[in-house]
Amino acid sequence: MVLLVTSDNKNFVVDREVADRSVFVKNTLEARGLSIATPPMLNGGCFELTSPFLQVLEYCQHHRGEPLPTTDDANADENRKRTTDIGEWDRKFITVDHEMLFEIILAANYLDIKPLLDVGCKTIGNMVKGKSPEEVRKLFDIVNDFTPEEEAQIKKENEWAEDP
Amino acid sequence: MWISERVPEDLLTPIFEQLHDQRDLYTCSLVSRTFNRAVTPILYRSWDTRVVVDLSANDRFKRPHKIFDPVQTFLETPELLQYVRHAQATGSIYKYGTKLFENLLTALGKCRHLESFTWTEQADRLTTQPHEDPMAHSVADQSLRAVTRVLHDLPVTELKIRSYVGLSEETWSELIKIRGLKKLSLWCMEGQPRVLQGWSETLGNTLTHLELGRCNGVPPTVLLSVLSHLGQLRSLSIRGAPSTVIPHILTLLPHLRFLDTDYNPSIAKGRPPEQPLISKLQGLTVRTTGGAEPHNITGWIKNLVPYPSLESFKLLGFSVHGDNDLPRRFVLDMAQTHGQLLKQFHVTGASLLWPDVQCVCAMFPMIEDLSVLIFTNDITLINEAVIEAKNLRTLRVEVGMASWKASRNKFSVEEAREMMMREGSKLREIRVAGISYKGRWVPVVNPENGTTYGEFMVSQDDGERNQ
Repeated sequence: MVLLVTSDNKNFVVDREVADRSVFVKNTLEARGLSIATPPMLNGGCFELTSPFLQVLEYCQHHRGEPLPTTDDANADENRKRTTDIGEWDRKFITVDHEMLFEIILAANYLDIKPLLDVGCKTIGNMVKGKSPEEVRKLFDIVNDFTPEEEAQIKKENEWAEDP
Repeated sequence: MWISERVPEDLLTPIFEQLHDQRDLYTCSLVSRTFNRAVTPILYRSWDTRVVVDLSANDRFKRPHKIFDPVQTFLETPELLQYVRHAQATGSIYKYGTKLFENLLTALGKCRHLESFTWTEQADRLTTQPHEDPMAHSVADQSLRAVTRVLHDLPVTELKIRSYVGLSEETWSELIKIRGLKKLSLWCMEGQPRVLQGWSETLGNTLTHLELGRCNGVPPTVLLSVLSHLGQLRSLSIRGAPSTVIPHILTLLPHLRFLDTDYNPSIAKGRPPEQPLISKLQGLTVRTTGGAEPHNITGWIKNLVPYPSLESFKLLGFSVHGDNDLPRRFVLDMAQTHGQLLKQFHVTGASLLWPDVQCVCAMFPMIEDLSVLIFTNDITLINEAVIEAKNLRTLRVEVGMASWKASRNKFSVEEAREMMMREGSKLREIRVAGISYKGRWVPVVNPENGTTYGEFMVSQDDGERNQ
């Protein structure tokens, strides 16, 4: 068993197999020979940690024991990235509001849980597909900060990638 | 503004890497400055030249066209070239002006991080034989030579050449100066077959993936000599080699895991290798013209994979005449050796009956991807035939033409949905007689509160036919 302490001082006792889904936690524990990892904190506590961390733990619990992605198989890595399909359990898991979705992505990135990071990124990628720039701005509440000249310049530069 | 405030810019990269359509990347480049900075390296990672020709024009030599190529942007903003990892040039680009081709060479030479390069000579450009239009063929050959000289100074590890033009000795001598390749694919449909003579010695330490598109007429001794230098190969695709040579090739390549070959029975009886086969192929693809004796080909296949190792097996036919049935004995023998490992089973080079399909599903419990050729009028048994395949995600059923014409059955979207939504079913793609259905959970955003929820959609897929 491993004790995980979050930056807002919440304690979580989990199986080592679950904790090891996070390469960050796994490496920390192995390097120090400890059974306590503290703190898997995110971003200096700029947002409430416990909530996304609970989600991340749920993910790790579900996928415990599955082979971790290896870095030496470039093809498998490429295939994993190319497919935009999301497994059924993962799809239900990631059905959350936008804010939580991004917090899960941030947590997965910090804790180095590549499959979870992939699921989050694929979900957002799927939302973007086929949309216009204005629709993407609206979806994620983004302000267009280009000047008209800059926008025209980018359109000219990237014209080759437009729909033929 | 929460996306900009909350998400560090470097986390946008893995998100944009999920977008594989240039048009989506183009869209993101126009969203905001932050998006533009993050997406630009991904947009320019792959340099692909597309020539869109109006094929409806009568004069095939003067068809209107538009070129979609970033080469002009590269010349004006050369710093973008640092992002290029993969480049694909079509041989026909020089047809649209020597200046354009020269610009391409200039820009290519500055791609200091280039990893892979693909050269294709389009079929629509050269529809003549060399003796009918020697100039066009000569220019095509010279263009490849010029590109090859540029590649000498770049860190390319993957090279693909798809050419309808035979390579001259001069061009070949430039090509074989390229070092450090890990993946190489050569398809030259004319001229002397090129099987890495004079090149394999220098690629031996690095080459792990090799595709040789035309070995017809190459003496077995030459083939074996070339491949004997390539002990690091993990994947080999080879066309036109006599089938009796394949076991000998396997004894030379201890690390080979994937073999894709056609079945070319030779009249002369080949001797089996003196060394025992220790092959551990995980993937085996055999292509047949359909005329082979089932007994011979299945015996030959079993000998190539004598020990448990196979995760993917494909027996593909170039033509679908239905001359050959796949012997049930073969399925049982393969299952005895590879039953607990096999995930992919594609057999369209021989036909099966529904009970055979049922047998495959029962004997290979790990199967995820099944593709078969069936001669029957009755497709209502499809559901029952695959019910035991608990891990099946993709199912493709080709239906023999003669039988299908007589049939009034059409596989419907309702049937596809029923199979996909059956309890425990993992099926997400079903194709029956050319009609494809794909099922997937799609996120739907509730406009009122911004939450997303999933909806299972089954759609008819008009995409390309896959093997």
